[in-house]
Amino acid sequence: MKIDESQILRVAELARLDLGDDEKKEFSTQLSDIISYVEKINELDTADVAPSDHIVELKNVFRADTVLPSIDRAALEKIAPRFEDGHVVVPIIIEGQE
Amino acid sequence: MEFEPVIGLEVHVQLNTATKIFCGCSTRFKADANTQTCPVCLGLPGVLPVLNEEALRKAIMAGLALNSTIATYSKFDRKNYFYPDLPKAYQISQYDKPICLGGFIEIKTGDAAKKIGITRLHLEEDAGKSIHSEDPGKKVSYVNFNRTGVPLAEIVSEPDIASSDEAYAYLQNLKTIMKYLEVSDCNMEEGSLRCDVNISLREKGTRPFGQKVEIKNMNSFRAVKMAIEFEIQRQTRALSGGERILQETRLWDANRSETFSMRSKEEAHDYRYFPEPDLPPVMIDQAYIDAIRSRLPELPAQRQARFVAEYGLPPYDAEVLTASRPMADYYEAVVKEGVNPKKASNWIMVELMARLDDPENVQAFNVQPLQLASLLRLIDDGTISGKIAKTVFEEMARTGGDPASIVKEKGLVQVTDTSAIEEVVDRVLAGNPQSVADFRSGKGKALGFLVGQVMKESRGKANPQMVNEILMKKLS
Repeated sequence: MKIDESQILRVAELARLDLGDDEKKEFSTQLSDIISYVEKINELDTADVAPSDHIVELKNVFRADTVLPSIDRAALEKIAPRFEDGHVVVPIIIEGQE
Repeated sequence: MEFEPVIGLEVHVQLNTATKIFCGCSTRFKADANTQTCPVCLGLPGVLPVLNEEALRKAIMAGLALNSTIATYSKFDRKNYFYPDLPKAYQISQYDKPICLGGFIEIKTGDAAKKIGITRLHLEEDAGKSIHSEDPGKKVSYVNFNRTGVPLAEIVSEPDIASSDEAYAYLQNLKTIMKYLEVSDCNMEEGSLRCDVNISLREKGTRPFGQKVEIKNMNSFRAVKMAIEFEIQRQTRALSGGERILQETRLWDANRSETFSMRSKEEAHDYRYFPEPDLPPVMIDQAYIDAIRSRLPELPAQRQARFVAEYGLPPYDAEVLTASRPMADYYEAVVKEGVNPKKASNWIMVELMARLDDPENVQAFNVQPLQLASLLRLIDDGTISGKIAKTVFEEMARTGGDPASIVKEKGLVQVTDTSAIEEVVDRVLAGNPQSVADFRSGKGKALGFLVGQVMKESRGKANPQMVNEILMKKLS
């Protein structure tokens, strides 16, 4: 299956990625190759197999509503790209009214 | 051309469990920012979420109370989107196999009763909270992950709502039911209940729906009502002017009382739902559901009907008293003391509610049920008049004092001594010869004035019935 450039653009938009022209071509080729490879699975006849939501035969794995210690805030601060006044700082999300 | 609105509501109710839905972090609301997180709710690699069974039970309770069918098989899915307050870049939710399907809420607007259909109720995790910097030069947002992973029940209505008043009634009833169940605090200001509106207009009397618009960001039921009214006007104007309605998300601006379009970039979503591989399916049997059903309390509609049947209350009284569970409990505690049910209702609805901002907080009110019952007994046994009782109640509400002591301290005991009342009556008759003459010449109104004067002279303490009798005797 061919993944064309418009599909690449759509995925890039969803992922908030800005791709150059070379990258669009490169990813289009790469993703097409990957999908074609995986497409082989379509050769299997699954007409008699019920769809499954889950691959492990487990159900009802629950926990009790008991509070456990959270991690130290300093640990979060360490892995956050930017941290101020107890908060993770990110580029502004909503720019307000048009 | 005339248009009619078609409205559906999506309500997110935070379930009041002690811990988050998939990890043991506390859900306490007022904790310091980012102090209630762990590798699971932060979405760090290699962690395994495990479902909090209490969240499941509470969702089932809510579903049962909304007349839903509880699914014996349900599962979780990943809803993918990018947002800074969603650290995993997907939200664990339920897509095609939610825990509760169908159902309805009965509402009343004016005298008309109507059933609003429920499409589904599903479990999901909450996202974190972003605060946007007020300094426009900074261009940053601050993210707090304490809320990330708090259990939510999302309740989706059918597009059965036809006006802002119906939407308001639906939300009120939904909130009352959740509060009765004690599954959520339902505090819109704290965000434990949130509501999004889907609204479109169509030509009146036709079937096809118009293009729908989603409205978010309302922080009170009143704001929801206002946003709907604004949107009906905006869309009516647009359609009447030959414009097309864009499918979009709009935000409510409380300061300007209007909705505005969210930037379309924020809406570029394709959730790409797929089954959550880390959470096995939930498969429950009828016994499990029945055990939860047996935990359900009496619900508002049932209680309202019982108040009418058992206490002979007018439906209006029953509706007001049962609108909050603590108030209904308070009322029944008063009645249990042997007080006349209608009298108890009058006192609560008039005197008590006037002094209480939120009926939910009646447990903290200075006058508790036993005290109100003693006060009403003081009226019944003639110790004080109904009028004086209001003064006593005022004092009780202010100080939390006991009615009998207040009556004693302030010397408010009703005067039922005939000679004492006669003395006052004589004084009043002597001082108001014109009124006496008026009465004798057939002006019945003068009697009311004289009674008033006697009551005033006795500082409200004379037994009104005796005053009437003695006056009549002396005037004839």
